[in-house]
Amino acid sequence: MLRILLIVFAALMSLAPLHAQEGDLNALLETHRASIEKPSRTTIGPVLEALVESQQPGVDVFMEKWREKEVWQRKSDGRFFFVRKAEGGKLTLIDVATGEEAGLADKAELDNLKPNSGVRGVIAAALVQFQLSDPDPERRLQALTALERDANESHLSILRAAIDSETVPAIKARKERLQRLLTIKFGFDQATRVAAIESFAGDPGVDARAALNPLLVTSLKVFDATGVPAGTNVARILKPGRDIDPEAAYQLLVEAGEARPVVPLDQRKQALAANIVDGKVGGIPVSDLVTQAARDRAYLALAAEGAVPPLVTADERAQAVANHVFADVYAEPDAALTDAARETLDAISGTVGFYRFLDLALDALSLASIYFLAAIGLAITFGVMGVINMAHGEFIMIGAYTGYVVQQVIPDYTISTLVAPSRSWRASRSNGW
Amino acid sequence: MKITTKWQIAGAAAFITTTVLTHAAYAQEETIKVGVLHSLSGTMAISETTLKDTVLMLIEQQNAKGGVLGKKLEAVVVDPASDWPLFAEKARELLTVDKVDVMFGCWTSVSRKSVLPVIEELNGLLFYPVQYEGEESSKNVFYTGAAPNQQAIPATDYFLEELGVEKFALLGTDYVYPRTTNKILEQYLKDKGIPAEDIFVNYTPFGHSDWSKIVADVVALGADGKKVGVISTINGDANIGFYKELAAAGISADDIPVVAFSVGEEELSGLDTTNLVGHLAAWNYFQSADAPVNAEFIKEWKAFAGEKRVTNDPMEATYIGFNMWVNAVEAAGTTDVDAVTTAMVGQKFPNLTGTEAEMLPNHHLTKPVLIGEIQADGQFDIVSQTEPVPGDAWTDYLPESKMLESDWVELKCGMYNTETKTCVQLNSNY
Repeated sequence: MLRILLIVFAALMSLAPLHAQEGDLNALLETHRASIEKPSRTTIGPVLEALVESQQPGVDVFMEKWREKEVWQRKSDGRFFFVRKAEGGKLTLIDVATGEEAGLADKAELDNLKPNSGVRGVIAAALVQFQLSDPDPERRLQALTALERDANESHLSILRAAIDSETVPAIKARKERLQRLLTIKFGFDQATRVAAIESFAGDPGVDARAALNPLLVTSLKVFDATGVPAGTNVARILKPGRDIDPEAAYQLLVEAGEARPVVPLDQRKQALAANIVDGKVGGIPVSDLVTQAARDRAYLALAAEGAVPPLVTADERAQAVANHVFADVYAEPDAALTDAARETLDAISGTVGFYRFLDLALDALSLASIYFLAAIGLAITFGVMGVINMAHGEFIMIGAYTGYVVQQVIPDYTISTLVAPSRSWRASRSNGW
Repeated sequence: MKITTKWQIAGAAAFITTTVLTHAAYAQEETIKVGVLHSLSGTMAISETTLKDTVLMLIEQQNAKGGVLGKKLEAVVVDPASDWPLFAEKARELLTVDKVDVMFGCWTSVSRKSVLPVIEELNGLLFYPVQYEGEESSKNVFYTGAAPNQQAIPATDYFLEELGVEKFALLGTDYVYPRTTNKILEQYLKDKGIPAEDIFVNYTPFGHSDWSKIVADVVALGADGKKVGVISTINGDANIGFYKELAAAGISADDIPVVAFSVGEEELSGLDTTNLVGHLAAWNYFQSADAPVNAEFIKEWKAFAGEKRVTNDPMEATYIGFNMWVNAVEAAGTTDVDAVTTAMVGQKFPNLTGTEAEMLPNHHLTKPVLIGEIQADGQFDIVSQTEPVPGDAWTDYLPESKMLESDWVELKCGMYNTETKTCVQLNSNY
C-alpha cells in the first residue's frame, strides 16, 4: 500500500518540480506544511521523498535538524525556522534556506516540532544518502545505525557505492557486513544473495538471524491428488496422522473450499427437532430416537429428502484427506536461497549453542568456586586450629559486601577485583581478627 | 540505648501532635474535615508523600479563598506506612474517630482494595488519584486516575501505528495491577492480529534487580526480523536496574522502545536519566504540558513545596478530584456523602493540559491521553496527545467483563450485566 502511494506521489512530483524549483526550500516546505507539522511514520515517506527529489540546497540540514527536534514553527504564518538563543529569553530565528538571521521572536510565538521516534527513524533512513560518504566519520556511523534499523531497496546501491571510498577500517567492516545483510534482503541475482547468506554461517549476531529468518517463513498449503506443482518451494510434505491431525487437515480442506463442512452434533440435534412431523422425524418416531444410531438414521433420512445438509461420514473425510497433499511452502520461491538460509541458520544455531554451553560452564565454574572457597576456608581453619569456625559465614558476607561496595566506587571490574581483597582483609582485621 | 530514646521522643511528639490536633478540632466546631490517607513511610512513601503535600496545598489555597460553604477545611493526615491492611484500619479511624467528610488517598491497587470494604460499610467517600487496572466500580470511590482505556490501550496503539512494533514484551511487577493490565493487553493484541507467539509476558517480584537474563530474552525476540517493543508495568525501584541493563546491552530507545505506565517525573527526579532518554511513558498529564493553567499550577507548587520539586500525573488527578469535590459540595449545599456523590456526577473542571475533565456516571473522568519521550533533564517531550477519552471501568477487551457496565445514576449499579439486564452486585468485588 505504502509503495503504491510512493509511486503515485513520485509520479505527481515529477510533474511538480517546476513549481518547486522556482521557489526555494521555504516554498517547498510550505506545500508540505500539514504533513511536517503532524508527521506519522506511515504518511511521512512521500514528503521526505519529495524533499530529497527537489535537490534544494539545505534539504539535508533541514532534515537533520528536524530529526534532532531543532526546527521551530512560527504560529502566526506557519513558517519553519532554526533558532539560536538570544538575550532576554528570546530566540533568534534563522531562515532554513539561506541560513540568515530573520529577526527575534518570543518562545510563546513559536512551536517546537517534535517528531516521534518512528518518524525520526524514517527521516534518518532518508538522510542516509547524504551522510554515507560524509567526511565526518561520526555522521557516517549515524547513517549506518539508521540503516541497521530501517533500510529499503534503494539503500543497497548507495551503500555499495560508499564502501570503496571508506578509509576507517572499523567503519568499512561495518559497511561491508551491512552490505551483505542488505544483499540477503534486497539483492537482485541469486548467486550474490546465496554468497551473502553463506557468509553468515556461524555468525551469532541477532541481526544476521533477523535477516535470514524472514526467508524461511512458511505457510501450510493444500494441493490436490496430482501433487505439488513444479516450481513450488516446499519446505516439507506433511503426512496426515503423523505430521498433521487428520481433523485439522480436513478443516483446511473445508476452508480451501475443497470439501463440505462437517455438521456438528448439536446442529444435527437442532435440525432433527426442527423437522418433527406428526411425531416422527424422517419416518422414525420421536420416542425411538434415544440412541445416537437411531438419530443418525433419522438424520440420513432427512438428508436423503434434502431437508438438511447431508452428513459427512468418517470414510468420506478420510478419503478427502487422502486425496490431497499437505505441505509447508516457503513464501520465498527460490529453493537455492531457502536451502542456503536453512543451512546457514543451522550453522548459526550450532555456534549459539556452543556459546551458551561456554556461558553455562563459566557460570557453573564461578558458582562452584564460591562454594569451594567457602568450604576450603572452613576446612583449613578446622585443620589448623582444631576449632570449627562458627563465624565463617560472617567472613564470607564481609567479603561479598566489600566486593559489592568496591564495585560501586570503582566501575572497572578488573581494578575493583584487585582492590576488594585488600579492603576485605582490612575489614576483617578491624573486626578483631 | 540511643535508638530507644529517639523512638521515645518521636512517640511522645506524635502523641502530643495527635492531642493538639484533636483539641484543635474540638475548639473549632465549624470545619470540614478532609482525610489524607497516603503512606508517609515505607516503600511507597517516595510517591505518596507528594500527594499528601498536594492535598495540603489545595486545602491551604481553598481556605485562602474562604473555605467551603463558609467553613474552613481542615486536613487530618494519617500514615498507613505502605502496609496494606493498615490502610483499612486507618480509613476506619478517619471515618469513625475523626469523622472526616471526604478522603483523598491510596496509591497501589492492593491498598485501595483493602480500604474498599471499610468505606462501603461506613458510607465514606474516597478520591483515588492513580492510574489503575479497572475491573472495579464502587459507589463510594471516585477514580480520578486513568482506566486502562485511557493509558494502556492508547499506548499500545501508538506502538502498533507510530512505531511499527510487531512483537511485544509485556514486563511487569508481580501484583494485581500489572497482571490485570497485561491480561487486557494480551487479549487486545490478539484481537489486533498479533499471534500469541509474538507476545512475551514476564513478571518479576517488587524490587527485582537481576535483569540480564530477561533483557537478553527480549533482545533475542528480534531474531526473526520483527520490531520488538516493551510495555512495562514494572513498579518502583526495579525500573532502575531494568533501564540500566537495557543500556548495558547496548540497546537504545530506537532499537527497542519501552513504554512505561508507572514512571513519571517524580520517579525520574531521583534517577540518572542518561540511560532512559527516548524511552516512553503514557500518562494523562506531563509537567511539560503547554497550558497557562499548568504554568500557574507549577508555580504554586514550587512556591509551596520547593523549587526542585516536580509535578506529575497523580498530582493532576488529585487537583481535579479536589476541585470537583469542592464544587460538588457547594452545589449540594452539604458535605453529606450521598448528596455530594449525586452532585459529583456531571461536574466539569478544566484539567491542566488545556482541556476539560468531566465526571462520568461510572465515577471515572474524561481524560486526554499523552505519550511522552523521556528527556535528559527528567522531563517528557510530548509526542502524542489525544482528545479527552471517557474512562471505562469494565474493559471491553476481556470476554468476562465485556458485557459489564457501571452507571451510578441511571442503573444505580457498579457491575451491571447488559446481557442479562441485572445488577451483579452492589458492593465492589473486593
